[in-house]
Amino acid sequence: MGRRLVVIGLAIAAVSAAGCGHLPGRQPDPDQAAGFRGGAWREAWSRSPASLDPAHLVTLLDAAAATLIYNGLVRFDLQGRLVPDLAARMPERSADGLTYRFELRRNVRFHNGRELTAADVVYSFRRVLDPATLSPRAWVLEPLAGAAAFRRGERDDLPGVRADGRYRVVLTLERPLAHFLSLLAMPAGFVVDRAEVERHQDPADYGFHPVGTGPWVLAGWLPGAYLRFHANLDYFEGRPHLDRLEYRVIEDGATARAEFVAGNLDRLRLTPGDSRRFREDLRWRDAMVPAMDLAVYYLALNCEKPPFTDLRVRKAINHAIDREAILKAVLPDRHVPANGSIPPGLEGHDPALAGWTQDPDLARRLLAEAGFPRGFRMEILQTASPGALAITEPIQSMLAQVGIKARIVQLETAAFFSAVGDQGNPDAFFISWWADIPDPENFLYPLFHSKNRGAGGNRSRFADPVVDRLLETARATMDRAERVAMYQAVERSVFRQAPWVPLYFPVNYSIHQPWVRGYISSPVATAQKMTGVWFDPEATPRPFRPRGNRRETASEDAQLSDTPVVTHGSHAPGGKHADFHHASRCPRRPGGVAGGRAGFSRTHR
Amino acid sequence: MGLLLIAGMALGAVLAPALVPHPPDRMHLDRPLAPPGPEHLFGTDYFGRDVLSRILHGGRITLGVAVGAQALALSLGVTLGLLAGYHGRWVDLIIMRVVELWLCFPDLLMAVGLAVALGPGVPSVFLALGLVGWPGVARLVRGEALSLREREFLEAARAAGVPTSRLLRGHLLPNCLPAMAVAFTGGMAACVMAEASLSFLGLGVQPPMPSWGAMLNQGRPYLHHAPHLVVFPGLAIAACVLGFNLLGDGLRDILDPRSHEFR
Amino acid sequence: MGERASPELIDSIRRELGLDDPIHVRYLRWLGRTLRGDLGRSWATRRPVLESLVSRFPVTLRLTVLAFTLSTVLGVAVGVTAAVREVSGSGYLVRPLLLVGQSLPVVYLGLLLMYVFGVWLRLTPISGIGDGGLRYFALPAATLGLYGSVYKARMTRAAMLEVLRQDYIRTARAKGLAERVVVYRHALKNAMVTVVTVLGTGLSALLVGSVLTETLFGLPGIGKLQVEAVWARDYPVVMGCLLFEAATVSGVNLAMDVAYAWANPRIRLA
Repeated sequence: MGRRLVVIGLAIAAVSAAGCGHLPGRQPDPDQAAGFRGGAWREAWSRSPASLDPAHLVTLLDAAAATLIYNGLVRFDLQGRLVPDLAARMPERSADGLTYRFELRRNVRFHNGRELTAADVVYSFRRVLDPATLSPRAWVLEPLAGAAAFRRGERDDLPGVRADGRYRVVLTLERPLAHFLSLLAMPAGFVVDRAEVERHQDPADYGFHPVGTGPWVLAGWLPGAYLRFHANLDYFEGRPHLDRLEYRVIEDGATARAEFVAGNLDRLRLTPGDSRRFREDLRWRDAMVPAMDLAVYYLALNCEKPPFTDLRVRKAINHAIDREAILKAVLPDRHVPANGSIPPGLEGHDPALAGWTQDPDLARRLLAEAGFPRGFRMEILQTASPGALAITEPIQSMLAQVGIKARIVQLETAAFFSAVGDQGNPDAFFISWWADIPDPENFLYPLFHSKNRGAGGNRSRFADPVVDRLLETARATMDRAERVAMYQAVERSVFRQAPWVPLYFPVNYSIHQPWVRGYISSPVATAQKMTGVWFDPEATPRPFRPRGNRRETASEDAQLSDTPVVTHGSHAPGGKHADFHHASRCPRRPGGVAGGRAGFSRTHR
Repeated sequence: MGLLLIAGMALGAVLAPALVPHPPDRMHLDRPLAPPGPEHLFGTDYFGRDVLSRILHGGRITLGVAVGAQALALSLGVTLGLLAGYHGRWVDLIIMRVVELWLCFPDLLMAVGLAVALGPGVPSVFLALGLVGWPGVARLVRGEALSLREREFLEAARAAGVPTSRLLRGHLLPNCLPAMAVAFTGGMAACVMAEASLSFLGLGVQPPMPSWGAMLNQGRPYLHHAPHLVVFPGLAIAACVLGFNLLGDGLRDILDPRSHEFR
Repeated sequence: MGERASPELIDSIRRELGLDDPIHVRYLRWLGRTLRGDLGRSWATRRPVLESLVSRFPVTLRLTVLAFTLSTVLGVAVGVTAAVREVSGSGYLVRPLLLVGQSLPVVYLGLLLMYVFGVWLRLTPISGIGDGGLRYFALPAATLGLYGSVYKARMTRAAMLEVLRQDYIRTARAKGLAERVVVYRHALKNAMVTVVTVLGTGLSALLVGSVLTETLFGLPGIGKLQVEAVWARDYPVVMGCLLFEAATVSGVNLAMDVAYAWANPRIRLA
């Protein structure tokens, strides 16, 4: 299988010229990192995970938490490559593309000390598919032979999953599926310990006492307050650099930002408002790190409803809109303009894919040809939010220029999804798609196969038999290059028919404290296992001053460079502020000064 | 003083369409988060919308919701309170038990529950705040009615054979008006505050409608960067609540010199 | 539930949660279970609601007790001062101040304290529960306490003014008792009887405030649980929280009534 994602950073470099190269050591340097063990990572989550049971993980946040605890047979690394995880190497695939043989790593142990064997893998997969488990993620493993019937309760055996001895797992599929291994890297493929699951009388309790093989052991969980982990010193890939992790639940963005600027969080995800503020702040600007998501935002046109059944009308709408002008104003450097559906960095993304350029005259001509010389009326549905309105409003006025009178209808989220789902019959709507796995299949198949029309994912109700056939063939095509070429052909063919006005791929920013090293953002929620992150004891904390004192920056910075280094762990939030943060466990610079100066130090009186 | 504040606000709200310098939803994407200046007296928000215009229009929504909710609360509360106070006995017993039960639920939390059940938006905020407000009014009116029931003019009317419904409407109700006026001002202040709180929890008026609470909440992420987004709607709310509280105090002093400040 | 949940799965989950029955059947079932002490299970975490309530209760209890104490002490002190000054003719500033205080939404009071004491002065933790130490309750309790004290100050002031107008106070003064004795021995004692009775009403407001402060400061109490549940549309948890709050308010009110009847023999429990 090999490489899946071209390094995502490439795409981002194009977005933000002011990258993150300014800080020394921003790039991970394993040799240097090896010297610095210890420290406690502190980050904010907007809510608590609902459960850490792999069979019941749904959201990206749940997945990001579970990946710290568990391993699957394979996983995505931070560069987006599919690599062996519990498997000793990537599996052999039979010539017919149906059977995968996994050789397991030896001596992998659960956090309770028991060795992981092939039987655990079989148990975990059966459990996800078992109808009694009611797993919302069972579809992930459904391509396995017999899985669909097993899941419906029509058979008791699951021939698709088999242990062959203590260290070999054999998976068999119903029919060839090219991206099957990517599915296995999803949380539904995490391996659990049967004894731990069955120890709890109430099956829901396991999700709060998870036991895996991963680099982090859940040490404490107070729902609504925090999750704490300590390093698994026996992790099969070697212990993580950090000693502990603390994820605090902070719903309120303003509170999280206050904690970050006070030095109590190591990383902060930025809202658009935050990124504006930090970018204008000389001290913080360089610490902003961009990241892409596996998502695309678009204006969907209902291809089954006149007049949008007419290709000329759909083209005219595309020609009427100047996307770049809108995006530059609304989301400066938080977007990459989209011409198709596959985000840059993901295999299958075609930079050569041409977009529709704004051309109101052409748009009017096309409308006239289609029998609407004076335009028509239409509705654009969206969820009620000013962010969405900032996109749709300019669209509305651009459509008006070619004679189309669009009305924006704002709906509450649930009502919106029902209106653009199977029950409704909308004209057009502003919506986004978030992929589960970094694979072009996960965009094109649900979004454009006629089988998925409506709530299945193809909400613009696009149908083209040629595209359908190509999508099905691509799923069964094992050759990577051939497959990618097919998906590019699909995308070209789809977007020539203009079922959408493709808008943008989102770019997000996070900001790190200056002592953070080795943190690489990945759009794949399960890729960040926090094993490569470490703290640089030489780094200087950034002073935080209320706005308005900015003029002091230069002189303070100069002073700072002479100031004895304030190490991250030695006092800092110290044992005092967050008890989680034991100074003794943190790296200490030899001869480092134990006290900080007021205003710079993160000591709390 | 309070009357002046409120009159000003109400006037601003009513005349908003004529007064505003910019349409409240008009986005000027080229000048987001502009600080207060001659073009935009109160500055602009993230989407370049004029904050002053939004506050004036927001007054329509905030005050409108509050007036509507109070109307609902008063009509329910007065009807039930009069019935309970006048009839006494089992009617009183039943109504007052319901009132007590209702009062066990802290008002905003009840409103949260209702807003969740109805889905966020103007109608549910209005319904939630209205349904939360009536038991207080009912208790107040019942007290008044109880004290009026045995007075001579009612005895006389009853003896003259005036039907109960007219008795309630024509004689009892007018005498309860002072108490209702005080309840109304207090209720308005509470409604404006509750609307802000519901917005903080994300259950208030939905964007892009500019209610004060919603504006305040949406401005919060920009507190550092553009404090005017929080300060002005906050001032509007504080001034409005202050106005109603002052008005209420004043009314009480005029109408009922011997009153306590108890609810 | 993802876009890809199969219809069979949705069916079986709906069956499991009993969502296919008409609303009155569901309500009666909920009522029946609740009366047996079973509040059902959270839709999100699939765990019993009662368990979450019990685990979150200590935080809310601590916050409200701290805030209640602070607001009572502060409220009574300010109220008495205001009344005494007003009588002596020098306290006309206190009343408008109280009115302004009452007009400030609690969330913004909290934000203000958070920035001043947490971010600028760094005297207190900004948010969260940390190790559960009292320091983590400093800002939330101060916010809630200040908020609650305004109401109590108004009550106390009114009650004191009322009492100070009474004849026996005039008599006491006429007897030549020191003003301090008159105010604190005679007037305050009598005013407190009235004040104590309204403390119960204040509790309801305190619970409301605790929802907002817990959410703002990230304290994992019942209020925050309720807000989380609201966002997740986790109805069993929302119902459980409401029920808990109603039970608390009615319990405290009952206790207040009993205490009042005991303290003041003129009142009989009807």
